[in-house]
Amino acid sequence: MRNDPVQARGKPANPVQARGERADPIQAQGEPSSRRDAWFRAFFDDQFASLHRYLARFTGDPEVAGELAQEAFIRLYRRRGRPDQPRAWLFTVAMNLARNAKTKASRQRRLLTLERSTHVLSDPPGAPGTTCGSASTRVRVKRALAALSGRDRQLLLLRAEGYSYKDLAAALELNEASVGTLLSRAKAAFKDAYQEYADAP
Amino acid sequence: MHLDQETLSRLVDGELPDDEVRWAEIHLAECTACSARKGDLVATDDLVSSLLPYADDPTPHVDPAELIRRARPAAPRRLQRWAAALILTAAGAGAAYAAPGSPLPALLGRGDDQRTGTEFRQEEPEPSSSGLVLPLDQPLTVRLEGITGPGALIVTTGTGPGIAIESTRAGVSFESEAGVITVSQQQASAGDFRLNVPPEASSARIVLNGREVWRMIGGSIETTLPESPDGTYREELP
Repeated sequence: MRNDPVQARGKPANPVQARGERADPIQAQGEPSSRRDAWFRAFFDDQFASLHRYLARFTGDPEVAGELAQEAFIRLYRRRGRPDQPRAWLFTVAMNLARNAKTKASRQRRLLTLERSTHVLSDPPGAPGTTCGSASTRVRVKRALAALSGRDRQLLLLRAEGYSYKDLAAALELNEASVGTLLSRAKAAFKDAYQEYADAP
Repeated sequence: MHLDQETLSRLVDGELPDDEVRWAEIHLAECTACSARKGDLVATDDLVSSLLPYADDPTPHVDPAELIRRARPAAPRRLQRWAAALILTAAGAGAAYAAPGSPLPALLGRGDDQRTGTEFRQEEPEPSSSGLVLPLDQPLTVRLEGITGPGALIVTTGTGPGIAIESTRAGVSFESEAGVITVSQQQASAGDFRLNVPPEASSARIVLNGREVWRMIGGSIETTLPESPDGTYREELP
C-alpha cells in the first residue's frame, strides 16, 4: 500500500486549459498576419508532438497520425479568428478527421490490418542490447489499445495528454460527474487486455 | 460510509477539491477496504502510464512554415484567373467599371474577400477614388507605369488590414500578376496616388516609371522619396 501524500499525485504535466488559453487577447478576424503566424508557430512547437502522439496511439499508425496532425494544424491556420480553446479545438478536429478517414478507408483497412498484424507479430527485437521483452511489450501495448472501445481509448489517451476531467467531459460529451468512474474502468480494461496478451503466441 | 469509485478516481487523479480530499484521507486512515481499492487504482494508473510510451514512435519532423504555405490560397493567381486588367474608373457619379468576368462587381461594396483578404473598394461620393487593398503576408511590388503629374505619390506606413493603393484620378487601371500590381493611367488626368504599407507587411516595393523609389523589408525602409516630419513620403509626379 502506497504512502504517498495525495498532493503528489497532482494533475498531469500538460493541463489543457493552462496551455490552451493564452494571455494574448488578439482573436479577432482582423489580426495582422505576422502576429497570427508567430502565434501559430509557437502553438505548433508547443502542441504538435502531443497531437501526433495521441493520434499515433489512437490509430496505431504513426504515418496516418502524422498526416492527420498536419491537416488539423492547417485547418487551424485557415480558421478566421482564433478558437477560445485552441488545443481542445485542434484535438476535436483531429479526432473528426480520424473518424472520417476510418470510415472512408474501412474496406482498404481490413486488408491492411491483416498485413499489419502479420508485421506486428514479427516485429524485430530492436537495437542490440534490448531484450526481446521490450519488443513484445510494444506489441502487447498496441494490441491492448486496439482491444479497447473507441471511447475508452479516447478517455485513456486524452487523459495521458493532460486533459482534465472537465475537458474530458466536454470533449467526449460525458456527464462530468461520471468521468472518474469511466476513466478508471478504461484503465482497468487496458490493464486486463495487456495482461491477457502475456500468454498470446 | 465508503468512498465511491468516482471519488477514489478523482482523489488518485488530483481532481478532487481540497476540502473533499481531507474527508477522504480521514476515511482512508481508518478503512482498509477503501485503502486497498485506492491502492489498486494507483497501481493500475502507474502501470498504464509506464506502458503507453512503448507504443510511441518518434515525432515526425514537420516545419510549421510548410503548413502555413499549404494553408494559404495563392491570392495573386486567383486575381489572374479572371482578367489581366481590372479597370476601375471613377466617373463624375462615382461609378466603377470592371472588365467582364472580373470578381470586382461581386466584391464592390463588400468589406473584404473572405478567402484571400483582397478588397476592392469604391469610395463615394466625392472625391471619387479607386483602389485596392492587398494581403500583408505576401511580398508585393507596386509598379506605377507611365504615371505623370499633376499630382503626388504619397506613401504612408499606418496600420491597416492590408497594403492599400488608392487614387483620386479618373482612368486608372490596375493589373495583377504573381506579387506585382501594375498601375497605369488610361488617359492624362490629375490626382494623387496614395499607398499605405502597414509595418506588418511581409515586404513591399514601389517602382515609379521603372525606377525603384521605395522599399520596405522586415520593417525597415529604404527610399529616395523625401520624408515629411509626420512620417509620410511624398514626391510630386513628373
